[in-house]
Amino acid sequence: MELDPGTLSGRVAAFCRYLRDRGFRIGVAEAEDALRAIDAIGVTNRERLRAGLRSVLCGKRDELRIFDRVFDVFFGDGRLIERENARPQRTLSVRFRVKGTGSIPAGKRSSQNTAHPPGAARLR
Amino acid sequence: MKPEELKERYLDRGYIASDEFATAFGLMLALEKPLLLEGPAGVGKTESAKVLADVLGTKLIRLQCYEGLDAASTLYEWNYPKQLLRIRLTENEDIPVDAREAQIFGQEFMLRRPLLEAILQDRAPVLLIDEIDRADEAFEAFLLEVLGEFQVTIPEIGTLRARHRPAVVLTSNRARELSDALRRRCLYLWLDYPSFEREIEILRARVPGLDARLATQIASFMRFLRDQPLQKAPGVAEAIDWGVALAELHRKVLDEETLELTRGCVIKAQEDWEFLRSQRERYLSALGA
Repeated sequence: MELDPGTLSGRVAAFCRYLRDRGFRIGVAEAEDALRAIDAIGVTNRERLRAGLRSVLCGKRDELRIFDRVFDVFFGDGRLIERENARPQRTLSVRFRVKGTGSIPAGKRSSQNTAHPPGAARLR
Repeated sequence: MKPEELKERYLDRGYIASDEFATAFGLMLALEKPLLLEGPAGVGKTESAKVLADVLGTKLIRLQCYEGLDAASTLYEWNYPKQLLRIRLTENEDIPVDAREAQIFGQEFMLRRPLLEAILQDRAPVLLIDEIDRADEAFEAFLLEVLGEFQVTIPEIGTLRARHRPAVVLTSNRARELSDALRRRCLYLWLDYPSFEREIEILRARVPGLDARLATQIASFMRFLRDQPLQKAPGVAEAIDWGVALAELHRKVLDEETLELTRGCVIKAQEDWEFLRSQRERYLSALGA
C-alpha cells in the first residue's frame, strides 16, 4: 500500500494525539521521533511501518494491543483521515482523493466501524 | 542498516530475527536511541545484543545489573592497591604533595567500569545493560542521565565525553516496573517465545544434523512446558541445549525414556519435574507417545 506523503505528517500528529488521549506517554519528542522513524523506514510496507511506530510510541507491553487497534484505524488499507481544523494545503490532496472515486474502492469507504477519534480527527 | 540486511546478518550468525525485531533494531541504529527489550527469560534478549556487536563488527560492553548496584561501580573506581604501591615506591623521593596526588589520580590508576568503558571507546560499541529491572530506581535515574549525555565528570580528571554514541540495548524480565522516564527515553520491543514454526526453524539453524521430526517434537514439547505453571519456564536456549544433547546421543525420537534421561536440559527445578510427573498422562500426550 502506498500512503500519501502529503498528508502523512498531519496523520501522524493526529495518531499521536489520539494515543495520548488513551494514556500513552507521547510528547513532542516522541512525535518527532515518529516522523524520523517514518523517514528511516519508508511507507511502502505497512507492517514495517506498524513495527517501527510501535517501537517508538509504545513503552510497555499493555500498550501494544491498543496501539495495533488504533494503527489499523489510522493506517488501515484504503482508509484516509482528515483533520477537522487542518489548513487547506494540508488537506487538499485528502479531499481530492476522498471525493474522487478513482483511488478508493467504494466498499472500503463505507466500511468504517465504531472506532472514531473524538474531536481530533474524522475518519472516512 | 535496512531491516532485510539486519535479518540476513543475524541469520548468518544463527539468530533468526523477525521483521518486527529487525525494524526495531534498525531504528535503534538510525535514531541513535536506546532500545528496551522486554519479555520472558530465555527468549534471546541478551543474545540479540551480543549478535548485534558481531554484526556491526564492534565491541560488546556488558553491564549486568543486580540489586544494590550503585552508580560508582558502573563508572570507575580508583585502584587503591596500585596507588598505595606507587606511594610506597616513591616515598623516598622528594615530591610535593600536589604533584604526588596528580600522579596517583591519573587515568592509569583508574579502573574503568562498563559505562565509562563505553564512553571511552574509539568506535561506537554496543552497550548491553542487562536486567535493568534488577537494579533499583536510584540507579535507573543515574542511568537516564548517562544515556542522555554520554559524558561523565570525574573531579580529579575532568569531563569525559563519548566521541561516538554507543548502541544501547537494555533488557528487562519485568521483575520491577521501570519508570516512565526510562521508557520514554527508549525504543521498545516486546520479545516473546518464538512461535512453534519459528522454534523449529531456530532448532534446525542452531543444531545442524538434528532430525526434522525430532525438532518438531522438541518444539511442541516446549510449547506444552511453557503452558504449565512451572517455576522456571524453559527458554529458547534450553530448547537448543536439548536439541544438541539429543543429537549427541543420536536419538531420533523423543520418548519417555529419553525425556527422563535428558530432562536436565529443559527442566531446571526439581519441583517442576515432580509437577510434571504428576501430570504424566498429559506430558506423554505432549510427546506424542
